[in-house]
Amino acid sequence: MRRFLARRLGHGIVVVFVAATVAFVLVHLAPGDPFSSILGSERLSPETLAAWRTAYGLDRPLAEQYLRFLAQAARGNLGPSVSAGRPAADVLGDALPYTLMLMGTALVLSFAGGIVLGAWQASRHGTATDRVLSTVSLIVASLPEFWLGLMLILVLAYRLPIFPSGGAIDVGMHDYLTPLGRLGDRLRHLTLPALTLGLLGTASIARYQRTAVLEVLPLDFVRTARAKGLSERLVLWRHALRNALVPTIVLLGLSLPTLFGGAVFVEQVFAWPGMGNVAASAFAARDYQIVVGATILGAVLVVIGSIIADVLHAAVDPRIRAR
Amino acid sequence: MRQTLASTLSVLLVATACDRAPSAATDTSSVGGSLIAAIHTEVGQVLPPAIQQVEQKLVADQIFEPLAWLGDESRTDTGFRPALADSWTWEHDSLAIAFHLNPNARFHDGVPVRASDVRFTHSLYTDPALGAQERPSLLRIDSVVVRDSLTPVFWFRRRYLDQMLDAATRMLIVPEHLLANEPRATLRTSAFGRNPIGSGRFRLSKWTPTGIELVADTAHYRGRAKLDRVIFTPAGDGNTLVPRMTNGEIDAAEVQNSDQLRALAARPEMRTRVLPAFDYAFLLFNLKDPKQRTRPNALFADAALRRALTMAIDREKLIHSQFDTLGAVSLGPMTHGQVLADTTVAQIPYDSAGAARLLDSLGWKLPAGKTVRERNGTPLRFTAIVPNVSMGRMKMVVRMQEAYRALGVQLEIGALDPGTFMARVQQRDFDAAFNGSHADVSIAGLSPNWTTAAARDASMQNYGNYQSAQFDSQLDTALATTDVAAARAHASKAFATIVADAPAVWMYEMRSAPVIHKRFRTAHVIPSAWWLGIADWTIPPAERLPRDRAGLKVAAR
Repeated sequence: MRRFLARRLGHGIVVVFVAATVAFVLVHLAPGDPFSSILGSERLSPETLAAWRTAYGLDRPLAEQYLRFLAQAARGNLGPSVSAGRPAADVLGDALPYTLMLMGTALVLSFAGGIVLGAWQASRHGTATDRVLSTVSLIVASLPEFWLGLMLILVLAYRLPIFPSGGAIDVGMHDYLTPLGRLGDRLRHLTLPALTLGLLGTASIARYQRTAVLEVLPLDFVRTARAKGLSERLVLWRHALRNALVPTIVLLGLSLPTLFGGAVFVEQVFAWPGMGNVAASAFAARDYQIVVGATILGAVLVVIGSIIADVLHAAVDPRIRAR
Repeated sequence: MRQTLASTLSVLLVATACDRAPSAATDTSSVGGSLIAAIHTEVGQVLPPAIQQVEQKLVADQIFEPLAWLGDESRTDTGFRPALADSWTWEHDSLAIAFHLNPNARFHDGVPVRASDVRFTHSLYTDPALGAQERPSLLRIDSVVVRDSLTPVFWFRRRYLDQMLDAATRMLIVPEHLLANEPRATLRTSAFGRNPIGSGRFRLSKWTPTGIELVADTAHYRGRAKLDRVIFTPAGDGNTLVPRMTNGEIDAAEVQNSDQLRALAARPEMRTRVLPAFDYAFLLFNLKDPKQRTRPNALFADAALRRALTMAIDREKLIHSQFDTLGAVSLGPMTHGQVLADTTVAQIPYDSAGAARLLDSLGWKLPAGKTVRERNGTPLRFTAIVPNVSMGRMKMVVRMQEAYRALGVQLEIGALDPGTFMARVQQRDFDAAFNGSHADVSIAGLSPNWTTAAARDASMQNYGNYQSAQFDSQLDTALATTDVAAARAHASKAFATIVADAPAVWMYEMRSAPVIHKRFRTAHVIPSAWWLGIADWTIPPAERLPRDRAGLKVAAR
């Protein structure tokens, strides 16, 4: 197992390195530079632009910029952000916890809801309930994140003011609440954005899970379990589902980058101060440092997700462990 | 189109009632409350000379102060209100202004504000390494010298109308003792930008991804701010602004489209306003051949053609249908918010039939069976580049395309990302560009954008290569005089010249629409900088929300 992990980590480092390099090259190849995207930049004098390009190292040959970037990145330094006016690592570091909070919550909701819903649907295969839920999950899975988010705001924050419409906390009152109150405040603000991502994830995962359970239900071991006199509930949830979880576990790894991409839109809709907002602004502003930093983080998520999927796969399937 | 730092001048234009001297005995019942204001873009730092966006200015104007605020539009000496400077005197036949600093003025760390801070601030604003947006105007100041600890003296190379404006209002004074040892090259990204120490009536309490919290400086020399706290929080998606305001999550915001404005205006607890602003958009014609800049542009060197293209657009109708009350027809390279703007300048009227006749007379005729006019086999076709992030311009250029199609003119749209768009514009590599600009409060801002000297200097912003000796002469005269009436008269002539020459189709200027919760008594909202004067906003005790009663406990952290 250790050798396996070491090998996967090695692969992961290569993946991150390649992603960072591709991002670095592509963003530098695009026309313009970070300063031409600054509003009012046409009023900047040539000497100012020259001074800035020197200060940010943009007057150096691309290869030199790349090597300096690698050397700094290895120490966790992504350089100064042009648009934010402070170190890019700080900008991403401030935003990352919010994104992880949102993604983590959405991930739990998606998988918990999707697995339960999919298994339940499979147990009612062929019924009207199954058909209706299949249609609903297909529709929900097809919805754009930003649209679903706006609809949730319209219904649950505007028409029925149950939840806040945006932000991560009540900026006016959060500091004056008790610790429990603060937790409640954070959860209230997290609900709608997490629900947005979670609903989409649940719909997708439910469909996979339903298919996986349906494939397992006709197998011999399930028939044996029934023959032993176990209740249908035990047959489904203890025997069939465990075996049907394997393909869903693999999805866990694939979900992380998908969630990250979805979070970009959801964070903008809900004014959630995560990396989505930061990355979107950075792409438009050609903020090289943040663009590359966000790409690195995205690549790290892909690698971590992939490793987690493999580890869980091995945990669930003894045959993989033996191999 | 977003306001840039130059909108600080808008701040100066109307900072009237908000900058009152404190009463000796403050009515404590009027003190207290929290304002939560939405900002539409992330604020990275608020070092004044490094500010590029209006959201940064919104925050910085609470934390820092200039020497004086512009009190009215007269531009006379009495039109300025004291801030860090109590008074000032003109010297040496109006080639110098000596400011007398308030001896009680302190930075938030308790260090007194001194003349050396003013001199130091000027050196930062004029340093090219920082790229201050005010730098072109401040270069008209020859030097700032320290006569004594409370008297900075501004020296000018020559007399002009805006001497006091430039010296007193364009710079927010920063502490030399905290910044002098910071290398200029890295000052833009220094820690001070996120931990600012100013002399304003609010000081920074905390700065997190969820918002920037400022608290009243209770020891301020001009009296503490009436509000306890101001919190600037990201607005998020524009579609959620209305629910966030109606839910009470946000107290004040600048709305960005007429649907939002209508929705909030219908709410009894909201107060809405539509105010003039300084941003305007125009379809700029390149009068030179982009491929061979010594040659005139095959199409747009012809002033009559440019006039015909202007006549073909019903600007009033297009702007009203797209922006409703939040847009106005542009008068030219000026906006209604500018002091010397002449709203009576004769405009090229909308006349599609007249445009068709004019094109016919120029030889651009519509061949039988074709939809695009031709002259000697050359179709009347051009490409207009547009930044794809500007939804306003993207939508408007499509409408213009349709209007031109009806006239037999083929306009092709080249949507570009902002970096590429600016690169092409700055290299003058375009036939037409749907550009935007932010008008400086002073007409001096016209020089780098529209004069002959600017056309010949690749580093200046006359990207369309407009050259007119008449315009140059009128503008120079307006800038050289110290008499407001004379300046206005000459400026009007300059505007009339450039509008008639039609180097661009002057499309629209955007209006500002701040929406503020009614529980705030704002006394006087400055038309072009609604956030100025926040320090004097009050909330009647009976109307306060729980967060308004939080008080200054946060200051104890």
